[in-house]
Amino acid sequence: MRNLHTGANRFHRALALASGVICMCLATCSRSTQPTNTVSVANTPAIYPDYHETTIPPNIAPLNFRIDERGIRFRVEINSPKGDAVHVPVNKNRLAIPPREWRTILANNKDSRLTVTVFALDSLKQWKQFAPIVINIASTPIDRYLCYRLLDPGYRYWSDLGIYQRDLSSFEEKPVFTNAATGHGTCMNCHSFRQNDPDNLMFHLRANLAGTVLNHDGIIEKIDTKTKYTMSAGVYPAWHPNGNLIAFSVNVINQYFSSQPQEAIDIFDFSSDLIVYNIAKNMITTSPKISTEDKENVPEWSPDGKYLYYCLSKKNAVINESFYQLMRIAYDCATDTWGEVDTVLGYKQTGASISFPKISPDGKYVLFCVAPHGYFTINYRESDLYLLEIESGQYRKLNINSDNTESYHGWSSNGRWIVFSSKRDDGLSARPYICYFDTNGKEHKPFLLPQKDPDFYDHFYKSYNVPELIKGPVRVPYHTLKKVAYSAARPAVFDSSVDIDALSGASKIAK
Amino acid sequence: LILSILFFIGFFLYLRFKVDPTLYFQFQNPAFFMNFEFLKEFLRYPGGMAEYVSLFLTTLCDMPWAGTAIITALAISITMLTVRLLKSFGIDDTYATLSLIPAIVLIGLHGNYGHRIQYDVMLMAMLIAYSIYRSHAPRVLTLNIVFQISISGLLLYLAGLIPFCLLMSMILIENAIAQKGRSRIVHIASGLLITFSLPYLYYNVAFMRSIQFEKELFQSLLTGYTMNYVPLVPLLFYPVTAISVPLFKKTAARFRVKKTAGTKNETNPLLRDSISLSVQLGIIAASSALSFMSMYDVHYNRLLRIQKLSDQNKWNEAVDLSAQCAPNDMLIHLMRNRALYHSGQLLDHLFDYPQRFGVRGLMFTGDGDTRQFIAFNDLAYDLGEINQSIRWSYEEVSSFGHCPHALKRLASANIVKENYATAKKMLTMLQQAPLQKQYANAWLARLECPAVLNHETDIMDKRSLLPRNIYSDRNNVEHMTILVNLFYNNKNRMAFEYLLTSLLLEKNLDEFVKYLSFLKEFGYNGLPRHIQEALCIYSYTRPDGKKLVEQYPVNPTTMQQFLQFTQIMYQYGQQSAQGKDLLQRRFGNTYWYYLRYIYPDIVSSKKAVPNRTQDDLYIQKAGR
Repeated sequence: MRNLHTGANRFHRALALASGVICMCLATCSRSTQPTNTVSVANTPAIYPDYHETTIPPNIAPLNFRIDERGIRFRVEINSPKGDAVHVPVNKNRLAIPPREWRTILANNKDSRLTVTVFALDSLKQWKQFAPIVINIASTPIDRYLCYRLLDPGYRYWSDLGIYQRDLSSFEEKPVFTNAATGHGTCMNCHSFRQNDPDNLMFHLRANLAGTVLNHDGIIEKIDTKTKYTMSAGVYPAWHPNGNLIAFSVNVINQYFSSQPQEAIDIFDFSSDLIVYNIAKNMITTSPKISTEDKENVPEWSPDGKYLYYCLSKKNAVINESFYQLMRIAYDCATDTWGEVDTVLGYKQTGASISFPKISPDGKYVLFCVAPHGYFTINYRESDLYLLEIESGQYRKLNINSDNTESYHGWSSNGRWIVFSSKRDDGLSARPYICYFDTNGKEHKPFLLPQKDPDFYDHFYKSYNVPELIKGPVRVPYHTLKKVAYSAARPAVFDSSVDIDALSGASKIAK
Repeated sequence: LILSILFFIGFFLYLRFKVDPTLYFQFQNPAFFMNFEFLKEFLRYPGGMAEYVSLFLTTLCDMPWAGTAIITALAISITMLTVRLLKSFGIDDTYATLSLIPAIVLIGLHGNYGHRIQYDVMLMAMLIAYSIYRSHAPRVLTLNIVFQISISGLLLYLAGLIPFCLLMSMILIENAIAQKGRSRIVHIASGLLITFSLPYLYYNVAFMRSIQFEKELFQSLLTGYTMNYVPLVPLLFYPVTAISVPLFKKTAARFRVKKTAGTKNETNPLLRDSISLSVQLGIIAASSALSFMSMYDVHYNRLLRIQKLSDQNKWNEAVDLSAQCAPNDMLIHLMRNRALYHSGQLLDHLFDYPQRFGVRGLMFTGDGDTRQFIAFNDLAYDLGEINQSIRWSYEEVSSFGHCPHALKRLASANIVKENYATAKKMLTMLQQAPLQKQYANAWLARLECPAVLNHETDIMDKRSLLPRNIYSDRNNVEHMTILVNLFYNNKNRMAFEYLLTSLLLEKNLDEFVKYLSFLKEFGYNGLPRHIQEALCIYSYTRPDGKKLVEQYPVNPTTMQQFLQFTQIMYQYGQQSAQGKDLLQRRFGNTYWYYLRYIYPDIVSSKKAVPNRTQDDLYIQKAGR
């Protein structure tokens, strides 16, 4: 009997203890008491990443951050117009917002603002209350997935490379394809989607197993886009909205290693042209207007498919004077005819080189990079994002730029969100920043892609390359892509009706 | 037991004092971080954990005693598991020597700095898995198969394909011998099915990992040794023992039956044991010596020691050690010439070592292999070519991962360039690497107050050397142009000496003399020996030679020696091997000998060297 009693007592004690722990946890996550006798501090606390006055989508993952203020203990309270104040657990100085509560807060407070109040207990046991961090919640969601390539900062050699997709509503990241599947000898780059559609994807494999892997509505194959009439295989891609055409640049690219103190590396193309690949016909075509002796590069279709935008530089320009300007050419998809070339924005107007034009889904704006010279903007600290209103021809530098590199960028399918790479954090690795672009054409303060651990970016050295927003996950199984990668590339044929090559000499093809 | 203890004491001492585990660290340049993100990378593919553990152990090799203890402990564990295995095969203590065979081979393998600790870890993992299988495998067929799948699947995930194949071969052999009739057939069939299907599932469905990596790993385990296939010995030892022991037992049993039927002639047991012990001792000693001699890499031992001495700024010791190396490795030339500069001997003792690689042995002239990245990186940093140093650091990262050497260099190079955010990033990463925390913290503290950095001599020196107004395609520009730019821009003494040395190595005296006027600016006390030697030739071969020698007086002894050199050359004839031998003995360390007799294959990446330079003809003329 005695033993039984002891056992029961132990059980009850354990139960009580467990209940206590659970209650404490619940209390910490919801309504724990606010510190009393606090001293107010006028400024907002230093936090990383900086989310103060940013605008976020209602379907974003919790914005966990680190408090970079002195304190032996911290308390954080989230207040929203609709809902109770929520006390968030803080591990030392790192916030871990419970995902379920975060989702509820965002869902109930669209088009309004959150205030996040940080309390810090100093060594004299005095609580300090900082001015609240304000976060705006937009009503328009962002495409749920972000696809990017992760790579080490490097030069001529590479090792681990991969294309990954991140669920923006959580912290889940999954590889789409990596060179772990093929061996380190394979490089992969230039992943591209047709209008944010995850079911229409392409990316290039280089070096070993070279070819362009194409997923066209579930039909997956590997194409060899190099022909004897093109100077290289297709490089920078742009899907036509009809899904059957992909414009590529073909380039002869050279890496320059500079002795100049600032920029260590530069990319300079000896030549480049544009081609268009017809998926159904497996055929490459071009036109004398986009395969001139000058350098046509980085194509982009307008959302209605009627114009091909691209950048153009003079053929004999030396590296320091290689300035690109924004051009466009009309294209009639039904008759496969090209219109006239038109200069949209000259480099003399901007005073610098223009690169990577990206047209907003409503067709009103062109977002592009401006750099001192060249087009490979990720290498230039001075590279900034600019916006051109197509109808008025007015352009301006966006106020989301930093002192460091802003480079590759893209639009969400609804046109309300912009994602871009920035090296503002450490000058080394490109990180994805997300910016709200409102209906008035105004950009809001961008925020860094949130991670579960706020210290993540301190230890993560890879660059997020070519971030592209997509409407859903890429569903092609990894092993299917692997099988395709190992298959022989189907050679594309060059359009026999075209009598000009894409070898940048704009020479007639002898027939 | 006594034998084993003696053997492992020898193993330990050999590793510590002959091989030196710190040189594994130096050679393999491991990148390891104590954070979950880093571990996560290794959990993503089969064999990742073995690689992770090996990287950690290799990192600890930076501490010599710890490294020695780790490798010895691995060898002891492998031997103990082997003893257990052999006992389970029914081998008695008389043949205990057999269990030392894998460790004996490991002695040789560890004499090679390319040998990876991953090999030892994989072998140990396989032995543990097999040992568990033997002691715990259920007898019921179905359960046995489930157990096989579990243990081999776990091994495949943790340690990779090589130990998995080894384990499955052992299980197959065991079942083929132990089982009978239908049970044997089912066991073999299921074993084969597991052997082929599990890797297929792992590498094609479950994990994003190409089997190509396993092939590369296997090849890398076999290459780089004097005797390429020795690493296979421990791998084959276990299956071969598993097959041969039962056969041997059967034969021995027959032999014993015959023997008992014959005359009884018992030997004294004490004598028999002594003979057995002596024979075993002899076998162990001989095979260990053979293993050591066949695989010990003396060249890399010296090369890595030179690298280590250079890292510690022990330049004179580095120069002395390099003199012991055969002059057939460009990397040795690069490191020796750098050490010569830092010890103030470059223009006095350059030709003490045959400069067979010409300028390539002095400067990086194009892309190199992975081992050269480190040397290129160090040299670029010393010369003040910070961008190049950063470039080669990243190439180093591509080859070795974020190893401490590259991270430290990237941190300091970015501090020089005042890219403090990037430097901080590198140091934050370095903080997570074992044994590097102190270094990282010290620099991070300085970065908190960048003004402190203005008192760092090394940083300030490098800042003063930063090239200005140079924009060039570094890869396609003559190294000479780079040196001239570096030297003119900032009065860079190293660039100046390297420029003069390059011109000597390129046998370009006309260009060489143009820069002599800068000697005063750099405060040289007297003319360095090789400059005097070059002037001797110049004075005899150029119209303005005598005038120049008046301006830069050559030591009369040197001039006398030059005349002797030319006289001997003339006396023996131009093509005389005897004359060449004599000149090499007496003047092999002079510029004259280099100019006349040494013709590097490629002196510069950009231009081929003529077979006979004008100066060579001049020397002959002077001799007459």
